[in-house]
Amino acid sequence: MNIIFLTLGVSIAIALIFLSAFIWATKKGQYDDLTTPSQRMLLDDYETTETKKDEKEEQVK
Amino acid sequence: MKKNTAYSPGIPRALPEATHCLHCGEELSLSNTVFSDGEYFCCTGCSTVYELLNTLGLGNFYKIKEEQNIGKTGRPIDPEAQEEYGYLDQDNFIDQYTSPEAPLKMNFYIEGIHCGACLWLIEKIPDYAPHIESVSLNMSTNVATVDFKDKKKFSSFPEIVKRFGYKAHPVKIDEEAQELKEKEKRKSLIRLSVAAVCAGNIMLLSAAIYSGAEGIFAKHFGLLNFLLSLPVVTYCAVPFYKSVISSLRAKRVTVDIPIVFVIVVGFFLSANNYLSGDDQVYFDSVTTFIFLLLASRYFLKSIQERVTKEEPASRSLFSQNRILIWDNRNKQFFFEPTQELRPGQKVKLKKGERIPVDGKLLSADAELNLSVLTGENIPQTVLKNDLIYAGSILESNEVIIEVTKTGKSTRIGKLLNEVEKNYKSKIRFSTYSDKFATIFTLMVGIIAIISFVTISTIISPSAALSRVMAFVLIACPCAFVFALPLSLGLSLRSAVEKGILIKSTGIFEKLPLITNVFFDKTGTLTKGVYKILSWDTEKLSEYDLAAILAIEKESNHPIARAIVSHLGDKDLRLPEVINFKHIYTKGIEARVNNHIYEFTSDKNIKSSNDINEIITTKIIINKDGEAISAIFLGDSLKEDAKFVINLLNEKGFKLHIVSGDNKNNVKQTALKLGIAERDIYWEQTPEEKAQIVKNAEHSMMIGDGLNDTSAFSSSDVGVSVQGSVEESLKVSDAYILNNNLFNIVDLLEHGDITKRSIKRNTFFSVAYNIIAGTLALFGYINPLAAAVLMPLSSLLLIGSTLYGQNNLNQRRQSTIL
Repeated sequence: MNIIFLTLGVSIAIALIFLSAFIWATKKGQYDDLTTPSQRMLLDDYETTETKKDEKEEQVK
Repeated sequence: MKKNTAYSPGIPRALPEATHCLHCGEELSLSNTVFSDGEYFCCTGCSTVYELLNTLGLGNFYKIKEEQNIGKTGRPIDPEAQEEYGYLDQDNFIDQYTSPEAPLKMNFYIEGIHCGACLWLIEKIPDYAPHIESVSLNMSTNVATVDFKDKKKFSSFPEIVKRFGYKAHPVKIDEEAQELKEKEKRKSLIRLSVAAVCAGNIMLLSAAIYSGAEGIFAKHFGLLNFLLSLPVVTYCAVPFYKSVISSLRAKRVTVDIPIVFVIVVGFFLSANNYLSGDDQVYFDSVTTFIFLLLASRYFLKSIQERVTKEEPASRSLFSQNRILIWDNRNKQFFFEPTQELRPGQKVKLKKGERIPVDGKLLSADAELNLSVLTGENIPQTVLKNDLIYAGSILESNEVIIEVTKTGKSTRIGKLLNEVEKNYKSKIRFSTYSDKFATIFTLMVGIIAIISFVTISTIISPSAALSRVMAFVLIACPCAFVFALPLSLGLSLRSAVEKGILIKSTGIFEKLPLITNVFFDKTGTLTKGVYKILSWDTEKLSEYDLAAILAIEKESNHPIARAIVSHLGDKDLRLPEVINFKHIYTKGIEARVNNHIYEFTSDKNIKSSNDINEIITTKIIINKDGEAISAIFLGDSLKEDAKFVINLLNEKGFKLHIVSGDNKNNVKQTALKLGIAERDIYWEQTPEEKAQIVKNAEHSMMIGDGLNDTSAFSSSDVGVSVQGSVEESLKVSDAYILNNNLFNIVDLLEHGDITKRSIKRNTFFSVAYNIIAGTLALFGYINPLAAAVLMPLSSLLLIGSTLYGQNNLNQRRQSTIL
């Protein structure tokens, strides 16, 4: 039954790995804004319809 | 750019095939339809934005909207407004809005963001704006971070955004405050996650111990439990220790005291028992307790943060960031940051601007809307050298004023300061939960001491110690540590969804007691807009109408302006006006084509038959001494006012009106709403209003502006319905968005239900504590029972809270149906 101590060690190590991953993500600011990224990922496929960039710049001016 | 936009009398005579505006989704009707490029819009604003987006190749905006099933989004903010952003490229403003570390980065608060399509549009800007490197929009705060390519091109971003129908306001990068807040939030998330990992593993190991692990297993599992609980007690629970220390310093009893008591006692008892080989350990209970607490507080806090997010930066009273200041050296007006204003400077103000300082008028005359101070929307005329107060809005054309006082020393600044101070001292510490916590802590302490003495004389001191410790641990203040924040948090959230912003959760405890409800009149019960209510122009000849319009155009009195705008859509050829004169307190007189026209006001006003109209002024038009027409002007009630008043009457509230307006107008309003004459007060100053409200028991004041603030602070619950969110929330308990009076009924109902749910929870908690506490004292509680009972009781309470909220939602649905 001593194998239990090994599995216990492994399980706690895994828990610690996930915990440190979570802490890293939090510190990086991944949980600061939960609204925008979920919207943004839906939009990536849309590009502006192709006209020449210079032309657009002129129109803005 | 080609322009074939035509207004409705032009092209579509019949209803268009499309039923909704292509751009904003507004429903179309005959009177508001604009036809352009083969599509239908509700206004020229929408069609202009549509045209611009198409020429820029941004037509996908509409595709995204369609795919995400976004219907109505609200109209674009006037894309052709004359808003100038050039000042942003001046050095003094650049310094203010950028930081030295990132000189090309500026943050903007963007008004009018609704959906994913808006996000796409804003973030696409760098594709065609030559000076902008990148844009990143945060939709939970509506703040866009913009990186520019060149210096001094900061104005390019707000200008493009404006043309898309949004409005951008530069936001100061207060990095320290921002970072501090963000760090604090991240920290509490990390605390929560550490507590979750440790508590979860301790639970697993404890399960093994309870189910009979023995010998070497029990010993090692116990060691692991002990080690895992260390970070929870020493790191995760730190906020509770801090809060207890600060509350002890302030000599207050808070809910955190019993919490820390339980944590400390539980941990040391368990550690002591573990080290001495006893199996009475509570590591699992203590860590789960801390985890649940942290989770419920994190939840409450994130909801409260969402409440403050609703503030549109532009509506704040002193948010105007720039002003034209006279520069003596260059003999010219320059834009300067408002904060840099000094007394003695001369500033130029434009029509529609809010005056940011107290000052003296240097121009000949000006029309000012003083509603901030008086609550009345009819503009008043001030003459040269008269005093002008901050907060009033300029209604006439450009004026120049000399600054006498700025910021907090202005009249309005002082008023706000005073009210804010009063308000802070008014917040009572003896809220329900604090009272409960005090009684609870004292009771547990007394029982513990008595039991310890009794048990140690009857059985033995060691048995007494362990039983009393078990009792203290078991007597968990669950009701107010999990259930109360959860219940308040849920109420807060459903209130926000309904458009009610609530400053502090203490309001839920006061709401069920309310018996007297006070309403301000102008702007709260009525729309606060002065306009022509009835005028039979059919009887007048075109000749007379033209003469009237020509004469009224000479004056800029609000009545004259109302008449001019009323006749604005008629195609009249204006005759020449001679001998125009104001007759003091009587009216105006002028000659047109040998006829003398007189406009006099008639004091003999009968109330209108229309249920919503309140006539405040009657104007008689005389032509050569003979009355030819009468104009009725005034305010009108909000559409839902009558309904809400009836509903509140039915529910048994005592309703009052307190107003600064004159007797006749207040009486007319009360009559239309069915409020008894003895319950109305007219011609009241802000101070008198406050006194009236103060004299009534359990009062709720509903008002619309800063002139009601003293009344807010002397009422039990102050609710503001209009004006700046930020300023209003400083001085009132709740703010109602969208000006919807029906929300008041909602608010009162919320208070009722929350109170009931708190009561039920308290009952459960007391019952649980009496039963479990007694069992513990008689020595029947072993660790297994404790481990089962504690989460079970918490779950019961959380369930009961959710049930209460569910009830609220169901009831609401049934009232809507």
